[in-house]
Amino acid sequence: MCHLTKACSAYTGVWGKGWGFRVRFNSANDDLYMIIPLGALAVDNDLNGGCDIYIQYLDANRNPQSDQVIFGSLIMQQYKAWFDYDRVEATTMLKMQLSDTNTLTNSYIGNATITASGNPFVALADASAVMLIGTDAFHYKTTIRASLGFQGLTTFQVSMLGNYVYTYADSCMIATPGARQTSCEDEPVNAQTYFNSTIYYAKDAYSTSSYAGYTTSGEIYSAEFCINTQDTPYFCTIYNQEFYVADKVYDDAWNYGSKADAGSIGFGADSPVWAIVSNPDTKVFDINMNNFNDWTWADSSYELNTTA
Amino acid sequence: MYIGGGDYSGIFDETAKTTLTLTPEASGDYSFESMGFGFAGFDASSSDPAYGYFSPLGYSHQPQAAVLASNFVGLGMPEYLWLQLTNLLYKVDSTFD
Repeated sequence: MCHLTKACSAYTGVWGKGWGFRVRFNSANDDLYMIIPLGALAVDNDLNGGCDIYIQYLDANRNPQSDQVIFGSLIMQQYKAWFDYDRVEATTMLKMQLSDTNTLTNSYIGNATITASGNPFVALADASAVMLIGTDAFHYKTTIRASLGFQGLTTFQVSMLGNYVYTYADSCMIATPGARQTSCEDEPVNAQTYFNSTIYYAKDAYSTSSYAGYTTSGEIYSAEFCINTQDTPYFCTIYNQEFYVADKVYDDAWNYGSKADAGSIGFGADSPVWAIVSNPDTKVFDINMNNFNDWTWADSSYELNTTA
Repeated sequence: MYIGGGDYSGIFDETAKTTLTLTPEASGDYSFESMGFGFAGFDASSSDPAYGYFSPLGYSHQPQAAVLASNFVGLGMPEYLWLQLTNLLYKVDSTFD
C-alpha cells in the first residue's frame, strides 16, 4: 500500500488531472475499454491523517493467484455489474456499466480514440544522486546496487566507461570449450544468476561478444532500470531500456576465479544509465577513490599515506 | 445485490448506458489485452477522453489477467508490476512522496 503524508484532499491537483488506469480486456465487446481514476483507490487514513492509496503487491508464495491483477471493491463500487448465465450454452458473461450513483469524475467505459500526448511522468531530469558504492576489499572491485525489470536490487560491478548493461540469466551456463557445462554460479565465473526471463520477452539474441572482461552470448531484453541511491527512491527510468542477459559464458579473462556479481553496469556516454536523468548533453559523475587506499596487498611493508 | 432468476431489466438496462461485456477465461479470470497507467484529458462536451498518455504496465508477450474480488480492498498486483507502477507514481507529481 502507498501512504501519502497529507489527507487525500490535499492532493486535488493529482486527482483532478485525470490520472488513472486504462484497461482493455481481450473479450471486450465493441473495442470498449475502461478508465479507472487513481482517486478511486485513495482513502483517508483517520489514524495518522494521511492518505492511503490501495495499490498492494501480492505475495506469490502465499496464493497462486498472486501472479494476477486483482480488482477489489474500491474499483468495483464504481460499476453496476451483473453476470449473465446462459443455461443452454453454459456460458457466463459479465456485464458492467458505470454506476448511476457512485462513479468518480473521469471514470469511463467506452471506445473513444485517445490522441497520444507526450509522456507526462516527471523524469528525473538534471537530478543528482548519491549512489551507495560497495567495495570488495578482497578483489578490489567497486559495486553498486541496481535492478533490471524490477526483479529486485542486487549487486552489479561497474564499468566506468562501458556503454552497456548486462546481467546473467537464471539459466546461465559456463561454456568453456572442452569443459563440462556448469552453472555460471560456479567457479571460475562465480556469477549471481539474477535474471528470470520467464516474464519478459526477448527482443533479440546476441552472439558471442566480449564486454567487461567476459565473453558471453545470450538475449537482449527491454525493461526498466533502477539504481539504488542514498536519498532518491525509485531512481529509475520511465522508458524501457535495453540490456543484455547472458545465458552462456565462454571466457572471463579479466576476472577468473573472482566474483562476477549479477553483471556489469556501464556509465559511459551511451549507457542506458543516463536515461534515468533524461540523457543530458553533458554526463557527469564524480569518483571518490577513498575506499582504495590500502596498498598492503602489494607489499605488506607499505605504509598508508593518504592525503586529501 | 440481487441473486437468482427473475426480471431485473429495470435495474440492469443494457440500453441505458454503454455496457461492457466480458467473457471469463476457463479459470474464471479476465485476460487483459492491455493495461496502462497515465492520464487522460476529457472533452468537455462529449465527456469522452480525448487525449492522454498511458504507460503500459507489464511487458510484451506477457499474459495478464484480472480477478474481480469484492473481498479485496483496492488494486492488487504481482510484485514486479507493483514496482513498475510505484515507479510511475513517484513521477506523477513531486508532492507524491
